[in-house]
Amino acid sequence: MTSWWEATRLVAARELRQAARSKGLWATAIVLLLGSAAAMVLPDLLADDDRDRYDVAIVAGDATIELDALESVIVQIVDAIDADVELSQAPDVDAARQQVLDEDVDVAVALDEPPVILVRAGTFDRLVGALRQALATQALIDGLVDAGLSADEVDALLSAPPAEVEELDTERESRQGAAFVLSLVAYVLIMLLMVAVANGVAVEKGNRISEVLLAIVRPGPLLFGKVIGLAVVGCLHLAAGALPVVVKVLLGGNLPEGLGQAVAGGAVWFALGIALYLLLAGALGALVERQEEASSVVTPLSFVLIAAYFAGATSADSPVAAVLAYVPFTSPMVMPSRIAVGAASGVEMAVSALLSVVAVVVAARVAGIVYRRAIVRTGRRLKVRDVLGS
Amino acid sequence: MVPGRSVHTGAVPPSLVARGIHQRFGDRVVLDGVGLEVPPGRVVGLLGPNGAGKTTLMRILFGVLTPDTGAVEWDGRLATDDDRRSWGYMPQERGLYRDMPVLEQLVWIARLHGLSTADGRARATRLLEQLGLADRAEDKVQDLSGGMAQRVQLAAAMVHEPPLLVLDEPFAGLDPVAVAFLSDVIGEHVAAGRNLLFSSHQLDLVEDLCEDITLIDRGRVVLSGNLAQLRAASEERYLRVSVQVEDDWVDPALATVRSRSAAGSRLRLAPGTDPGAVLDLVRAHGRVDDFGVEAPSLSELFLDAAGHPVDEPNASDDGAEVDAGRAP
Repeated sequence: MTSWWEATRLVAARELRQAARSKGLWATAIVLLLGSAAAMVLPDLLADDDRDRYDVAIVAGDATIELDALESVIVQIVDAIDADVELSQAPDVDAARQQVLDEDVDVAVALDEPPVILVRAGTFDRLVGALRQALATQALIDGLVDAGLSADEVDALLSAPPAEVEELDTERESRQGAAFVLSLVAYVLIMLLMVAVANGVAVEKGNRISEVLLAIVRPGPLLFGKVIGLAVVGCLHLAAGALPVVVKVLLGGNLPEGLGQAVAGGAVWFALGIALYLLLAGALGALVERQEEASSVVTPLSFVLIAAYFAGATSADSPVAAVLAYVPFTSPMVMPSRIAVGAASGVEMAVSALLSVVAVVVAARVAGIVYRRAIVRTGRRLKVRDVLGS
Repeated sequence: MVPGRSVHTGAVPPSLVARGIHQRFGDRVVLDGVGLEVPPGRVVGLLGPNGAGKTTLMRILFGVLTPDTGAVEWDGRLATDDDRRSWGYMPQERGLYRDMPVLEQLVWIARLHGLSTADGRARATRLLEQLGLADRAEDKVQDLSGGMAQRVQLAAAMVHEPPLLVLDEPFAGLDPVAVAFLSDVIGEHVAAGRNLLFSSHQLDLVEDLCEDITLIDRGRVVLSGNLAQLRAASEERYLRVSVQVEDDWVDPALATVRSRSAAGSRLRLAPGTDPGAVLDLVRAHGRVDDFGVEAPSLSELFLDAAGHPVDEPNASDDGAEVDAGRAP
């Protein structure tokens, strides 16, 4: 006779062994690994380190403006917007216009009085701005020289350091992103595992395996073992997805702000949420005995999960989320998100975790009762009310 | 006391006893005061038509269902959950993981029973050899034929060498080869002094296998006891001899002539009469070249006890019986 724990361990181990045999599960793990690796590596690979490069045609015309000086100013100012410029000469305005239309050059500048910038509508706004500034600067330089300043004095005036830009609230976006990612991962994982558990229980009921097993072990180990086994499979999938993130951190890469704390702190709610939802999904799975019924029987739980997901993903620091952080069904997705955006207090975390633990204990008892009573009642789809009332 | 006619040898005290089992699903009475005794070392058949309540009784024995009233005793005391989990159960509908290799599945079940992996593997391997499945040990159950899967199911029920083996309709849908394998293994199990109970609605198929029987019909036991003694006690037992027997040759308290033909005579034996003694009386009057005892078949015993043939299903069929756990 095996102990309760040993039986649970054996049931869980069987789930793991069967999962290891499943090509589909390996394929999912590999897709997750590759997808995550791509998400970690591609942004750096695709990062646009190359400066923009513009082609600009200049029509000198009859202008009195000093062309070399202007070109020098254009290069400087375009450089200030992190771009390079290739300057060329166009014989006349018509030719320049045609070059712009043919996209031989990006922009043309006709040095009339006043100068005209030729550009296809809606393109090269930044370049146009830079060119206008260059023209104005050159006009200013000419004016200053005319007013008697020396070339050095003009250079000194123009080489004043540019204003520094101070970006505010830069972390908010990345924290919100981290919250979104965490909620999404929790949602997808719990949803998939719920269906897997309900499906596994229903199939065992339909195949009458449960009847054989119930003659050997108590119902508890059958349900809990399956939940633990499949949860471990799910977490291994999660680990496959997280591996590239860990590698990136170890190699000194940057993570979105808040993701690290939220993963560390959120693991508690993650585990509790998986336990809560999967135990109930197992009990619901015992109500049916066909694979196609298994996903529909967990629909009510799915709706709760979807609501929790949206609360966690979209408005983690809202008053509604502050309330949902205490509700055991929603806290697994809301709480990690609130930690990510820095909205969760220590008291909130302690109370929420405590409530979740209580909910898991209650769910385990209720699920055990429903499972035990429902698993031997074959022939038609049962209702929780029927089972609990019998 | 088991309702219905009952004859027991009383030689070996039964290890498993069910007393006064009542089970009702809604308005339907499925078992009405059913009793059952399974002594060690004997093949006991729980027999009756589909829907008689056999599966429900077996589920109650295993505690899968809790009866409205009645008790299940093991070794003279109320059976505990641990007792039940030491038994082996093969349900009517096969229950195996289809995508799991045969040997691995048997070892896993042995481990659930508390055996070590090595012991479980040794026993499972031996059983598979006995059941003619040694070469299919690494195959998945889904790749086996129905008869083979049934043998694996039997192996799963007895891999831990249970003191009591309960088989629900083990012969249903089996080919003769599988029946022979199953019968051999069952025989070996009881020869080791262990207990065995099986159910069947195919009375003709299990005619030669049963030593003790409990005939059940519409949730009531109609006949139970040692099969040989039940047959001997039957009023429908005949001695066939190849001579024309006169009425006054034999004491009417022992046998009466029922028919005469060119082939000889047919004498109806009084319940409990030794056919040899009657034969001796006949031989005193003439030479007997051919003779035989016609004992009632299981089907005839059932017909006699229940008042209808066994192949006339009860109001609720076995599908409903499988369904029996359902709430009203």
